[in-house]
Amino acid sequence: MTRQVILVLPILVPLAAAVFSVAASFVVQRRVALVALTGHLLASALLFALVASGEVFAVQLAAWPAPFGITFVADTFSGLLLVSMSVITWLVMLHSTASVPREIQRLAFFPLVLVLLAGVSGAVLTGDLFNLYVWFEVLLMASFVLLTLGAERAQLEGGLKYVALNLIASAFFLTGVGLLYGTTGTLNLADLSRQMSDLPLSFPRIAAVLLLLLSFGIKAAVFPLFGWLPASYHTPPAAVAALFSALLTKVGVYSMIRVGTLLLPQPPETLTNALLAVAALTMITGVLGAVAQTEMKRLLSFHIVSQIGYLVLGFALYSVAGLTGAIYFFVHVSVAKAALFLVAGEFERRWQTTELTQLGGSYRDAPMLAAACFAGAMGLAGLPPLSGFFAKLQLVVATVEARAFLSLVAALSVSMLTLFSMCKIWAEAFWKALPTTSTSVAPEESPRAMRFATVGLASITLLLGAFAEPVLLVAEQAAEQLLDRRAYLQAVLGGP
Amino acid sequence: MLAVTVAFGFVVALLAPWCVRHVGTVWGPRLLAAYPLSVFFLTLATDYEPARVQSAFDWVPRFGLRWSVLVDGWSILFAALISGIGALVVLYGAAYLRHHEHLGRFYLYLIGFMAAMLGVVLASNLLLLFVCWELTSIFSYLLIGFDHEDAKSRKSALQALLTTGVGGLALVVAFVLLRAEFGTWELGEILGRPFEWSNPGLELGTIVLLLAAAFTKSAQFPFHFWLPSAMAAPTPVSAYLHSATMVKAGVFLLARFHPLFHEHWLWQPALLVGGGATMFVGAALALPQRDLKLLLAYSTVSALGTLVFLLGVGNSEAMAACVVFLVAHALYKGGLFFFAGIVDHETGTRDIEELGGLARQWPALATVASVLALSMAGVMPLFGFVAKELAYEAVFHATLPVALAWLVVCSGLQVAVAGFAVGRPLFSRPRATLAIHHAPEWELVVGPALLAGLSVLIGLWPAEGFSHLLAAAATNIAGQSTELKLGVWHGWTPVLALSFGTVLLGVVVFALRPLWCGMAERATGWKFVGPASLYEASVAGLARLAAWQTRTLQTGKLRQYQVLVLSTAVASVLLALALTEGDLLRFGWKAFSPTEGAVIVAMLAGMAITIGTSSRLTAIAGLGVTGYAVGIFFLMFGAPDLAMTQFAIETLTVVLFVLVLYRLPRFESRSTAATRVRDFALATAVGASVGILVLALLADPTPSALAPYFLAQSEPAAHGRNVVNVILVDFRSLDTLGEITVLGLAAVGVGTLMAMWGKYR
Repeated sequence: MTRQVILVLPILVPLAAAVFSVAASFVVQRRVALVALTGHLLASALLFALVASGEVFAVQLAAWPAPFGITFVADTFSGLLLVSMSVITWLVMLHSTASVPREIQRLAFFPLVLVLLAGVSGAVLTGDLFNLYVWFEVLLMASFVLLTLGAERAQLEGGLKYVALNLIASAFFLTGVGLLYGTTGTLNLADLSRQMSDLPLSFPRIAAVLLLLLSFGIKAAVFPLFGWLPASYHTPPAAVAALFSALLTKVGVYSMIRVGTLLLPQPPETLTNALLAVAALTMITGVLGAVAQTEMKRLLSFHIVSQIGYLVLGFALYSVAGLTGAIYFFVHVSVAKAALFLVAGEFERRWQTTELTQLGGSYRDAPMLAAACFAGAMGLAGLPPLSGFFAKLQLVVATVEARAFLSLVAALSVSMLTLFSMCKIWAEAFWKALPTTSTSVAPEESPRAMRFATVGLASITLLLGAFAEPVLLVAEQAAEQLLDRRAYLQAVLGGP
Repeated sequence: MLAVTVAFGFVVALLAPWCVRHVGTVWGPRLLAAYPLSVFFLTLATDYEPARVQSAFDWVPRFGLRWSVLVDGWSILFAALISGIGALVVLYGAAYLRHHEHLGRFYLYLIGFMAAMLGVVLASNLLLLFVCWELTSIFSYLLIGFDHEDAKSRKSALQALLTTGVGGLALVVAFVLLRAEFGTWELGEILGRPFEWSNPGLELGTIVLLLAAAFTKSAQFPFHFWLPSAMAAPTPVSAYLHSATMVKAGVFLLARFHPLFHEHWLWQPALLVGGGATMFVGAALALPQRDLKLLLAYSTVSALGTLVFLLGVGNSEAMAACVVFLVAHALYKGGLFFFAGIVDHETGTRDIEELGGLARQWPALATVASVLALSMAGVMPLFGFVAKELAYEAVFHATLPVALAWLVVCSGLQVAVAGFAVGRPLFSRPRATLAIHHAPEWELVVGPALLAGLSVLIGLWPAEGFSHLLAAAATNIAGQSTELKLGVWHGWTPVLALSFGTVLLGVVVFALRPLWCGMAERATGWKFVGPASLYEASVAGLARLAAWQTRTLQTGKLRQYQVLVLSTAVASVLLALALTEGDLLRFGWKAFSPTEGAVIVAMLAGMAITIGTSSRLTAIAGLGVTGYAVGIFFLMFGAPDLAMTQFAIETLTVVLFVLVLYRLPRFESRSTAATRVRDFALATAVGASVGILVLALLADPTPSALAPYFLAQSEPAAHGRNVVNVILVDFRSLDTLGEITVLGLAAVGVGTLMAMWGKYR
């Protein structure tokens, strides 16, 4: 019974806190949010502790048995992701209390973030396809409002593209759901999984799965569907972008992996080859986009796209090694990317600009920030002994195992280009002297909350490298569960 | 013990800034020097025979990443060089950079590098070796860019990082392949047994990748260009990383794998040619240089080429010569860089055309520098001479006459370079323009003095233990027992004549300096064919490619993104057709009733109006018609609640649209005919895709177990007669909660936009 309560807490706690504080003043909202986020963190940690042993468990909401009601499921994959997202959200929120301008904080900023987190938790934990759609709508709406808070012209323009393309994604999602319900008669993911392996792969069924993958692909921002991301992510305050990069696109990939492995346990080779191509093109186009940028938030936004390619690569290999790499990469890239966005947030707040040509001299002025940025940047580039190294090493081992040498070449070359573009941030913002023509203002002292959050996240990339073993083992267990499916099906549907 | 020592180095590095700040800029560095010194004595005390593997702890057992070291003559020799010269550099750096604001960071990077470099040479675990290898690149990046406000430093740092970074990628793939073949990451196990490769392609691939890694790291032609640029680093760094240690990592690696690969057809020829080319290019490019550090850098490139060349010669004598030359070079070149640093530090210039007469000012330093230069020139009885003799002898005995001639010519050029670097600043006529700030401090001089002293000592009285260590190292890399007798006098041999000839050649080349400078002047127009320009061109090309791609893909136009997304959707449906198992397309056609037909006609009419009209208002009305027709369908198929909702929403939408339209500017179409055709085709394709999917769905409807369950349970279990309501508030209540949340969010969103109303009024 207690376990079943724990399974719904990650949704209930933030949602309830948001509802009860939405009318309060923003100071109250902020306190409530930090308490609720701590609660969420505790609940996720408990949940993770329960699934870390390899157990999968489910709760049938309102006690309607599966597949008739809505089921929530926790396994190693969802537990690990939830806890890492929770930690990141906590630190990013701490940062935002100092880095997000007051006038934006006043606009229900904290309740919106709480709802966003509830939506993410729902999407990660649900075992029902239509319910997943609902959580996606929650995510979309919450993020759209967060994105346009402050209503700057650039924000509204970016927000329009964001919402338009994501609504198209929703339409295809719904089409896929309808087709699957029509051809299998169920919405429960475990039940769907069982049906899909029993029934032939007819045209509407395979098309439904592809449309779902397409929809997740738009949410995850893969090539060629990523247009909305670089168009919008640089417009809100950096802390919001940090949050989005750790939560939104990642939920897209999460759903891709979850639904993909459940609905197509033995995918046709044409499909995995197509996915491998998408992965490689996502990495390459994303990183080239980043190379062309000189504004930090835009540059990092393109890197989100590029890194998503690695996650899709791990998924497309459809092997334990590949998924292990993807899952470890998941944790690594969420942390490293959020850390870098928080560095951008510090520039935004203290130097009033994130334009690299206007920045400089912070190697001298802000040594802690420099250290945090260096760790995050080199981690993202995959240099040892940071988290990115082990993530990429696992993927390299997996691609060699699968003889996917083209993917290997793409992954390694993109690493090189990532390093190149990370060095640009480092050389321009830190090493270079402040340009005399710079319009940036003299830096004020860094607020303690902000520094703690940035350095905290950067330290996690170090720790993920130093203690790669336990995380990798958990990731491997998650990957095995994903490919094996038996524990998941049994937890939801019962029986052997 | 040694494994822990390496790990401990990183801790010392992290403590270095603290140490410099709190212990002071004088005693802090001296305290830090205790680390390399103790490592140095530890290596001297280590018993390196027989070769053995020591494991300290498992780091990431999943990957087999273990903190284990391979103790043998080769690794111990390197470790002694790294720690011994490292101790001198730590002391020298303190005097050289005493008043630098980032002295603490300097020691963080320097000691960090030292630990990483020790890791490279000592590691038995290939992954650990790789980790340390990459760390040396990172620290080298930070140290080359140490003078960070200088754009040239930043550029050089990046150039070095990217060049060695490419090598690093090659290395990791090579190691993964080795692991796949041998089933272990431990060098100790890989090297220790005879081995038959399962696949010749795999062996070749591994060799090529290893060569790429070593050639980039050790600045072999055509990757040599990063090393002279790296001279942007402070001189102690150049002495340490870019002469004595890091650049030798590639040589270290090649020698390490020599026993494994030396029988492969590619291995020795590649080393012989690559090393030979580098040896000549480096020495020739050194001749016209004016900058003291550049002179030394190019001669270092040449020396690295010589080492690789000797590995390519491949007999056990050449291996021994390689080991001896390695040590001799580290001693004299490290010392000469120290000398260059002193000159720069005390006079403010490194231009040898502006320097002169320094011998009179600083006789002691002049003696030290002369000894080092003579060792570099290979003059009897210094250590450099011993090394050169051994090299000549090895090539002579290998009966490679062309190679021998080549080696002699390059050595002759090196003699001249030694003259330029030391002879001119010390002994040419004194310059009036030269301002000498002050005499060098003892901390600056003690390093080169020690190295010079060693060059003399080893030349004249080589210690037994030292010879033994070198022989052991040679044995390790030759893969067979190798004898080594260090000594100045070998009798009247042809090799001795070659040695004299070399010096003579050097003197001639020295005298012809104006010729070399003139040639270099005339050749400047040919710079664009060099590998450095290739690097520049590829960086510029990358920038252009990136800009082009971003312009093409990320246009900022919503319409283009939509076109991409919708085309991908159509492609997905086509892919689904290709992947379908069984009957390709089975459509469930059904006849329309007349009423249904009428509604469909209304729907189509609404759509046609929307597309065809040029007025916004009419378009909205057309959409409304289509929406209502959909509502009627809901009504006809038994979903009155749904129909009511649909009608309400359609009405509201039209009303809201009309209100908004009132405030919008005039409607204008800016699309060209071509885009219209494209958009029309795409829209039709998307519509058709969804259409055939629905038809295919109708072909085999699968009865659901859900509907009967809901009907059966609605009243007895959920106490509600309206099944739709029960589904919404009970069976699937969570969906409803989610949708309510969405509505609430939308309300909040509207509220936040309204709050900003004033901004755009």
